[in-house]
Amino acid sequence: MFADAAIPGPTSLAVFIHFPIMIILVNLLFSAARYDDWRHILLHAGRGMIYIITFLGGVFLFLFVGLQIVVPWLFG
Amino acid sequence: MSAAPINTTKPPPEIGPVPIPVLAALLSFMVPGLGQIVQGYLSKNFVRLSKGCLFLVCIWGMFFYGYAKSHWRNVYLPHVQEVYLAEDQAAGRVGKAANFMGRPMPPLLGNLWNRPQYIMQFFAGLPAWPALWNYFLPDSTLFSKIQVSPGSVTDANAGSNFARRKHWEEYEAEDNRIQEEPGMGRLWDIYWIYTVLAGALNIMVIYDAYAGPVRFRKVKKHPGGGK
Repeated sequence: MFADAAIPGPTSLAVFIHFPIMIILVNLLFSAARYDDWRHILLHAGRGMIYIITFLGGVFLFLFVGLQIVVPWLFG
Repeated sequence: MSAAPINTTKPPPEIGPVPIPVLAALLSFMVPGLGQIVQGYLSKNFVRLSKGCLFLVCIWGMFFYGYAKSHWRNVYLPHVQEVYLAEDQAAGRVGKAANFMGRPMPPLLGNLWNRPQYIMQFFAGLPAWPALWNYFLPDSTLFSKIQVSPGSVTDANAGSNFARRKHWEEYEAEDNRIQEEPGMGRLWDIYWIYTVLAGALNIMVIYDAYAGPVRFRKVKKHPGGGK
């Protein structure tokens, strides 16, 4: 699913490794710009991470199920 | 990243006006978090000081990680609009040059249109600014080894579109060669995204240094259920 022979270098799976890093950093910095209190910064960052991971995870699941199950079943 | 209030046992502490707002914003613009560090030091506010350190480490960490992993080649502002404008003028049409409603954009705007990443990279602070220096002063040797502006020509070649195009095509060819290296591929794009994110996040840091933490207006709830 992830291999792409047309593009040299690592497969797109290697690209996904960077997403958690970005999600953590973006949420932490966004929250730090909103509060001057570490407890609230960490709580807000944690909640933001959950929202983003849930949303992206949902999209990923939708596409994964669609490509792996529904498409082969319909056109397989 | 939601604006929804957080259910905590106690509300965040009330923040008074931050000291030296304009200077702190300027410092954070140049070095992410430096404004907060100075404010924290002056007001003996450890949280603000530590926040400044977090901003500095994370933002420049992201910027330099993305910049270094791209072989120090993804922060630049090219001179391509000049070539396109000349080619369009010679052909008597507006086709290649970046344009707005059929009117060709001036060179700087057109070049930013062709390299929009630099708009955000600029806000990452001092390490992104040699690109502007090289863009405006191609004859200067001060930053000649870093953030070279593709398509820039020295005074000796001024007006030569052939020299411009050759310079920028050589730069592009080297970029393409690096992208074909084992271990690069699509990561090339991830690396410039790191630098762009760093700049975008620093805009919030600059705001925080100027006005303190971002406070959303409180919503007054009426008994009827409306706002």
